[in-house]
Amino acid sequence: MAAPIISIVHTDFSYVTFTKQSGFSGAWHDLFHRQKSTVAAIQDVSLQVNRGEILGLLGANGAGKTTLIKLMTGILPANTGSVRLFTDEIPFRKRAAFLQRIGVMLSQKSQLAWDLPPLDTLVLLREIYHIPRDQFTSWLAFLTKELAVTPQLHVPVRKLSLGQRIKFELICALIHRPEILFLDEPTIGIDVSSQANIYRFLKQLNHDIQMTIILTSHNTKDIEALAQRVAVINHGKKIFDGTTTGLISRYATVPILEIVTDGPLAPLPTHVKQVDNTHYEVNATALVALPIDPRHILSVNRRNGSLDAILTQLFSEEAPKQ
Amino acid sequence: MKYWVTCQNALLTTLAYRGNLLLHLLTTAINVLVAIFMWLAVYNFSGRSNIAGIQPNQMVIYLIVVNILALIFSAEPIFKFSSLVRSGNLSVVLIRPINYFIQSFWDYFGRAIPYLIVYGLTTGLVSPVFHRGLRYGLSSLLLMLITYGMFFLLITAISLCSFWLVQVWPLRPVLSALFLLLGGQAFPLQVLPSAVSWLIYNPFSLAGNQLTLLLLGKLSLYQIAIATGWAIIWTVVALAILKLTWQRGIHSYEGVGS
Repeated sequence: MAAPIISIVHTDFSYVTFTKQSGFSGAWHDLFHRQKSTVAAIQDVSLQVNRGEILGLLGANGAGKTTLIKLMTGILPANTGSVRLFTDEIPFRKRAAFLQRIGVMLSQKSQLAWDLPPLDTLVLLREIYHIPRDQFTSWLAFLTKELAVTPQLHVPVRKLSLGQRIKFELICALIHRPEILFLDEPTIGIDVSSQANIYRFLKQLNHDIQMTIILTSHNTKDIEALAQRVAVINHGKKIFDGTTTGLISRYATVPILEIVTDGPLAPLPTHVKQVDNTHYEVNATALVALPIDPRHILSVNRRNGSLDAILTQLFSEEAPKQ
Repeated sequence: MKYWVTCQNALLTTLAYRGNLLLHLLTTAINVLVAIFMWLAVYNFSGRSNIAGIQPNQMVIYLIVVNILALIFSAEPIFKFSSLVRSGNLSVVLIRPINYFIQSFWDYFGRAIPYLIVYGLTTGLVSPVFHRGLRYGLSSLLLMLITYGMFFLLITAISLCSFWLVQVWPLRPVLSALFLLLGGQAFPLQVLPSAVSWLIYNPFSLAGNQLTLLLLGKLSLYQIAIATGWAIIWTVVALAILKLTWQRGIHSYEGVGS
């Protein structure tokens, strides 16, 4: 079996922050006695990613997803444990040959020169990554056509919409055809049809050139549409690693079905609880069939059976005391 | 080539805000005029035709040239780097297979090109530097190049304090004051008492006062050699600071803001 393209073993990362009381007295106290504290952003995380995989990193705000990406891309050094890419590359060393093989799109950070058209930044990237001109021209034409931003190539970045900027950020990350693509919130500000376009495009890249994609997103649609595997990070710890359906089946609790009917049910069948006129709940734990005539059912949803519901439940759990 | 494109983009960025560029040139011209009028008044009221061996017309030229140099030797990399660290945008630089310092140098150079063309070239053409023989011309050019590199490295070394200081804006007036006083932007350092004449070899003076005197043809070959030696010493100091602080800084960098 081939070695994983990304291998993270028992890795920790913490940083020092400080707290300050509000008001003048707090500021005065802070001036002389700064209250520092260490925050464990990543705790004993191990993760392996194989070549050609699409891995979704899920987690609430501040859970450690982006920190994990920063460790993998060499922006941050691991405190303990090891992070290796391409078998033996330590990302924090930032060897040019290593950086040449990864593409990174950080949602809140822009590669684009604000006052210049995207083409100027892309030409700079062409030189940085030593991309032959003819290859650059054809690949750029393909990318801009796929993402429907060809007319915006010559418009100053500051004049572009958020969605158009995000698309160009994605192009910047892809322009040198990296082997591993890191995407942090890739669909922020993107309309629904463009999102679908991006999903299709990334899947195609993954399929055609076996590009490994590591993706973080708050939008579970991104994860469901793209990720073959998910890792859930909560309070800096990896709490799940597997498929999305595996995640749902592991964390889905009592099977409560929420049923909407076309009218009130009379008489009320056994095991059915009425919520309002046309909304009912059924505890399906001991049932093999629905106790409601299917001809009157408009919709059936399993409560706590969607990725969103599972994640809401997981992320609402309190952080362990450090 | 990649660094040349960086330089081009920096120039294009400067030119993107034409109004700002013109305003910058205008405000500098006003500052120079104020300094000129002040010094002419000093000459007038003191009743002296020269101060520390400098005549009024020489003082006018000195002030024009030294202020042009202040535009070229800008401290902007400090604030640019601070902004990168504070916003976390340094992360974008770190993931590119480039040398940040070389890229930053070409960016620095690119942004200075309009000033180099508008003022520097004109000054260079009318200066006697290039009419005193090949040896003098080459020595002068070497001093200019080393001083330019030295100043950039020194400013970059100072910029690395951004890893530990969240805000570096308090440095702006300090640096302006240093260039005004130690760089000879407000007055030629030659008017100072001889006890502090060693001040002319501080990095700000090398970039301001000494280069101005060079362009005015006031430096001998020996003085050029001494100034070049000091520029090299300051370059080594700046490189040592850079080497020591970059590794520590990059370990303390957190890439804030997601």
